[in-house]
This record gives sequence, C-alpha cells and structure tokens, in this order.
Amino acid sequence: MKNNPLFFDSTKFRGDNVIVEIELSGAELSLGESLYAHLVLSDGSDMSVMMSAHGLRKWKCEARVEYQQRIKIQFIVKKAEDVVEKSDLRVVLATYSIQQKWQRSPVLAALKDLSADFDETSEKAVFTNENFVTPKITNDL
Amino acid sequence: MAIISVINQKGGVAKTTTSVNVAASWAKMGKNVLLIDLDPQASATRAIFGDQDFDKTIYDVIINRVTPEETVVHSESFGIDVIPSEIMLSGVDIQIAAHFGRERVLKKKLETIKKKYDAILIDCPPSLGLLTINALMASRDIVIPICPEYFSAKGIDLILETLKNLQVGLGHRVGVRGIVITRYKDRKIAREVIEKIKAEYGVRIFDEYIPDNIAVEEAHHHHMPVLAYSPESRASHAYMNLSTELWNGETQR
Repeated sequence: MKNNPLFFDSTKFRGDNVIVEIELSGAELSLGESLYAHLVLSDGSDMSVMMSAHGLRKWKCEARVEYQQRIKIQFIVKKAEDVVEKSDLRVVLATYSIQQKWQRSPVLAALKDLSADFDETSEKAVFTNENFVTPKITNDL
Repeated sequence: MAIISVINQKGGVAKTTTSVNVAASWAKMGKNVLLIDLDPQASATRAIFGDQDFDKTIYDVIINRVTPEETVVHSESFGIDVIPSEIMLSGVDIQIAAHFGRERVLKKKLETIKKKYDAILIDCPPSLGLLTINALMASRDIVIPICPEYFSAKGIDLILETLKNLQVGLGHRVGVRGIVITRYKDRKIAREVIEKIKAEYGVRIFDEYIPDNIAVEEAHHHHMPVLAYSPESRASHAYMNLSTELWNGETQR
C-alpha cells in the first residue's frame, strides 16, 4: 500500500482519536436484516457499529478509531441476533474515510456454494475471526 | 458564498482564461467576485494587470506576512478583486511543508475575507502539490477545464483520484461542479472525446463549449475580459452563457 504524504492530516499524530466514515458498497440486505461494521483496533479491542442505508446498495457508519493505525474490518449481516453473512476480513489504514466493496467471506461462500449442511458448531468455527489468515499488522506506513 | 477552484494538473487547458473570464462575467452579472491567482507563473495576474509588479501577493499571505485583505487589488476592466501571484510562490510548498495544518493554510486565511464576496475563484497551478491541496481544502467545488483531445480523459481520472484521496486522507469532500470544454473546434476527434467523457464519468459537462477563438488571446493581450474586448465574438457569448450556467449550478445545489 503506497501512501502519499500530501494526503495526511498534519494536525493529527498517528494514533490520535478521530471519527472516520466507513462506507460499504454492493451489499444487498433482505427484509429484517441489519448490517454491522466490526472493527478490531491495533490494541486488539473491537467494536461493532450498525450501518445505515446510504443510496442503492450503499451503507455508511461512523466510528472513533486511531488515525493512521492499521485496523481489521469485517462487515456482518445479522437477522435479529443471528449472523446471516460476513464479508472477508480486511486490514485497512484508519483514515477519515474508509471505502470498501462488499465481498463475501471466501470460506463462507465456498461452503454455501457447496450447499453444505453445516451445523451450529461448524458455523461458529468458520465465523470466528481467529480462523482467518490475515496480513501481519505492523505500524509501518 | 461559493469558493471554486479551477483545476487541471495538465497545462494549457485554458485554466487561467476560464478563471478570469468567468470571474469577469460574474462581475458583469452584478456579483462581488474575488479571484485568487495561486499559480506561481502568475498567468491570471498578468492577464489582468500586465507586467505590473505587486509588493504583496498570495505568497505573503501563505507565509503569514500579511492578511489577505492587504493584498487585494481591484481591476476596473474586469470588475473584480484579485489577489495576485508571483514566482516566489513556487517555493512555498517547501516553506510550509513542516507546518502544523499545512494543508489548511489558505482555508484559514480566507475565513474572514470570504464574507465580503459572493464568490471566490481560485486559479490553481498545473501540478499536484501543497498549493493545490490548499486550494482544494479551501474550496467547496471544482471546475475542470479541458481541451477535448486524446489525453484529456486521463487528466480527469487523475483529478477524481485526487479528490478521493483528499476525502480519505484529509476528510474533506469536494464537489465537481462540472467540466468546461475549452478551445473547442467542431472536429470528429473533439466530439468523440466529449462523448467518451460523458459515457465514462458521472460528471456534468457544461452545455456551453468555449470555441477556439482568436478574440480570447487578443483580450489577454489587451488585459481585458473577452466580453469587454470583443462583446459580439462567439467566445464572449460562450463565456457569458457558461458563467450563467455555472452560477445557476451553484444556486440550485
């Protein structure tokens, strides 16, 4: 990932708390479903923020994160308390606007494509963050 | 109150010509207009004032030597206020690079003076650096002049990418008011390029194309807006119509 220093806010230090706008495009929800942005910050703490519709298949929310730190982000579709679908887990740089496109979790997509009859325990295993292989998080920009 | 940057990283696309003539047309429409020449080549300053030198310019404002109000010069022939430029501006990127809030210097400087005007136009340099970033951070909208030729579309890509980076990295969303077709000659290649831009970008192209007309160059040479130098020329009518279109675009937002 290349970063142009022209586009860094000189009034913020890396790690300063800022409110960022998270935008997701391409996600289509059915009636009764809600969309959440699940964030894992650099210190390991996590938060889920409900997203609101913002145009056709576009979703938006705000979250307070640490500026220019790498965070993990995953989008989760829920119906009541049940997880219906998840996106893949990504590592992004926390800037003022995080713009992402919906992409189903490849593991889940493969399972669904195979129409696997997975039970509750196997589903949990698939959905746990620790099962995803993600790039190593460093503080290098 | 609108602050609009006239921007294209590509040179020779009539940025300055568009800036000075739109500013003059708005003044003719009764608007109170300030034109800021942010190009170190000072093309807008020279187009309006000729070889006149100015002790206080936008450079002095940016390095915090004077207030913007102290630099404003009125042009009778254009009917507008101008903050002139000078070649010293070419080094200002380095001077402010390490400053806290380096990308918002111009925005802060315009806080008080902007209340005096209906519109502020910023003639940007043909490059992407801290000066251009400052212009964009101070602006609500941009206008993109292009000559409809082979490389034009690539230039639009770069500008849109810059706006996206600005939103992502600096949290400032700038709107694109539209694309101005300049130096238009009714040829197949020009029509094809315009059609391609219409098809590929969701950006408005203003209906009025500015024709490739000698009156524009002659007006520059006489330090007059084309609508005063040659009011019946095609370029004069085109700039007046474009300026009305641009202004109405602002008020309809």
